Amino acid sequence: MMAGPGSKIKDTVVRRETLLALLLVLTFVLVGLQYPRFAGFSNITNLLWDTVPVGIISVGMALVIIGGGIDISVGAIFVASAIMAGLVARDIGNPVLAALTGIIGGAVLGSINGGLITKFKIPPIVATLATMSLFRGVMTELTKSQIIDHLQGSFMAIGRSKSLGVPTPVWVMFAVFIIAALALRFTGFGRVIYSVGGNERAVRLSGIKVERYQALTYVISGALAGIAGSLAVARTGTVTPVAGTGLELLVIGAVVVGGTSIFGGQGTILGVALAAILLQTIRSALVVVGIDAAWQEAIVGVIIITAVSIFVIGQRRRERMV
Amino acid sequence: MRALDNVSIELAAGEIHGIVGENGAGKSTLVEIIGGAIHPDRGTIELTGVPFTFSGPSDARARGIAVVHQEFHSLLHLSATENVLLGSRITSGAIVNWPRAHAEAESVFRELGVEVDVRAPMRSLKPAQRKFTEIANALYGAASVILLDEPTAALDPDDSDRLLRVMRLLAERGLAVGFVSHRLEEVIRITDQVTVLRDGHKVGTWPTRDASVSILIKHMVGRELEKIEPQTKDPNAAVALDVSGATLKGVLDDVSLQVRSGEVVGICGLLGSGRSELARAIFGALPIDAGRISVFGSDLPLGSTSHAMAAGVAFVPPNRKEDGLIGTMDVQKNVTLAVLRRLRRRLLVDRKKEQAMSLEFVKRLRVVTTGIDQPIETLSGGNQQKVLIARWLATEPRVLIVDEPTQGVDVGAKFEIHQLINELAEGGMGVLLISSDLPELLTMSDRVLVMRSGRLSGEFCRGEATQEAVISAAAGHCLT
Repeated sequence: MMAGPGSKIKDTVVRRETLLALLLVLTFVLVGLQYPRFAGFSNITNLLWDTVPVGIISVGMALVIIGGGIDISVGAIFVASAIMAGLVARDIGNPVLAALTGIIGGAVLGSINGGLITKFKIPPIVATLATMSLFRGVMTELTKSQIIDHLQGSFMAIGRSKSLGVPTPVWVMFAVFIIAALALRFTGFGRVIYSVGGNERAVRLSGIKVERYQALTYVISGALAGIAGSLAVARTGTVTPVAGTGLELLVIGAVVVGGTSIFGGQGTILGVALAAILLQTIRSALVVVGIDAAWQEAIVGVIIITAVSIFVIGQRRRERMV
Repeated sequence: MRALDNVSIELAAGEIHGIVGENGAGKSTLVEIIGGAIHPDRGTIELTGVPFTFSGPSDARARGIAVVHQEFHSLLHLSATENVLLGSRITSGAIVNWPRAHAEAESVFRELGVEVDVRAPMRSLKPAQRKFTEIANALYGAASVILLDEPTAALDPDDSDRLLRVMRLLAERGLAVGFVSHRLEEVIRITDQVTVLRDGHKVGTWPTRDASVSILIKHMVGRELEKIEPQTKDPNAAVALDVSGATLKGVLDDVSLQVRSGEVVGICGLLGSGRSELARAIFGALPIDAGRISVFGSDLPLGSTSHAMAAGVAFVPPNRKEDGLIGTMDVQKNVTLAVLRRLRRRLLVDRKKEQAMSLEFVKRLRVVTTGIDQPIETLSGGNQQKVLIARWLATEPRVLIVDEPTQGVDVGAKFEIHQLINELAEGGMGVLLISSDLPELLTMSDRVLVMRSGRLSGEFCRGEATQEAVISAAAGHCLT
């Protein structure tokens, strides 16, 4: 008898996250030896600050992908929320109202995705590709392609404030990580999401209203993109309708490098969080060591392929054991 | 551990050789070795006395050894013709000569004595016709040895029968036919020789006329299984499930039936007869146009699985891979899926309660695992099925609908599942059993209802239900 195949799968998962953490440390050590400031507190803080949009949105994307779907529209929702929050901050000025507008706006856009996918049974990739164009188009028209700036200072204060030397947005990101990780692991909601991604038909035949849960993942994904958008505009003070282009690809990259199965049912927030931070760190390290901008993206692409191959090969090996 | 240990088998030309054993006994490994897909660590393969080593399945195929696998390996979007001629040259120059190709495929089917629309895409063909197509492909490739791995597992009785006749025909044409099957009645009926494997070892080979189902089972499990004795049922027990006038256009036509508390009612029917749709309709997973479904006297709203569950209906679906198991999860999470709501404490899943519940069911159903955290995919088919049944027993049902509860399950687990169903019925549950395994249906059911084209076309009590009577009611004609 093979001893405990159960422990083996657990090992793989643990190994994946350990591997990401080791790679992260390794990057800091290697680059830090040459450029000591790279591993310094202020650079690390800045790096985490830069990770915030991808980091927060990756959590929503992970929920959606674990539940068996995908959300291509997150970049568009991100910028739409940033614009909504920016407009409120510019014209009304109430910072709380501005942030809420961004977050709720994101959730509403996410619910459009959820509705299209669960009510009209449009495949997630098609539905969210369409809404991506839709949201971006509407936002461009609404803003007449103009940059939104001159936000009032009280809103910007949220984006730029720090506690314990760490920017508020970074705290928000970590809060999102922790809440999502706990929710996925311990709540009934988390259990159903994993189950739906594993076998949607079986869950439906177990009397669970699958559509409700699936729709909810898109709403959460939208709301998180809204949080990220609000934080981004509060940090920079400006937003254009073309911001966040290609963001969805960075996010999906982080989710799969983090060990989430693109087929659904498997993945952890810890892995996704580590991957988001790792990818940002590597991008930043490539800049620091002076690698050409064109090569940077190519190298990130290779990292994604490598990570996913390791996952797929590991899975095949497991299947062969069976 | 060895998957197969020092096993020798001889397939004679013109004979059907049955290969039986429980899951994990090594049947599939043996088939893979003969078919060239697996290299044995030791041992030889001889064809007409000449030893061979195969470099792979295509090599074995070129030498006349064909394997028809349990799962369909055909190209579903291509026509039957293309699947029959697969691997052979059907082109003249660069252009496919379609009229000739279709004619050739048709002639192969004619030889087999079966009817298949050669121009139809495979996906539109019935499972039996797909099997015939794969057999035709083997025949067209001039096979002299053909191994069929569980060919009748997905077929209904009528089609199984047809397939057995095709196998006999192949043997009469001088092929050596290997028949791997869990359906021991079929093995006894059709084979000339039978080999029993257990835990990778060969128990023995016997002429089939000296064997019987019970002898085979004894050799397969290494012990004798007690017979299941039918209990006498109370004819005045409360009606657990009452279906009247269930109708769904083109699928179900005015179906009415009753299952009393403590009763096991079997439903027999060919694929497409509506038997599985009826089960789904009762469970609320398939909305119906008209009809009334009530459980212990109270009506269910149609088309709502949650109401059906709340009323105490449980449905163990067929196809445990597609409709049942969450392959990415462990035993425990698969057991508790249908009762998650009951395990919730506020928003959280009560882990202690969940663990206790799954342990209880694993023990009660004698699921063989290394622990409740073992991934479900690594369990044997029989144990997976038990986990699926456990999921539904956890809902504490009063009406249990089971569709193909023992398909692809080995003899030992099958026996245990049968025992369990009987125990549940004795405890007052009303059981609706749908199965294409006729002997199972006949031994388990107090009454057998037969469905044909969405209608109930016959009812037999225990004792009057014989294989012949049930099959002809299901097929709508008398079988010769």
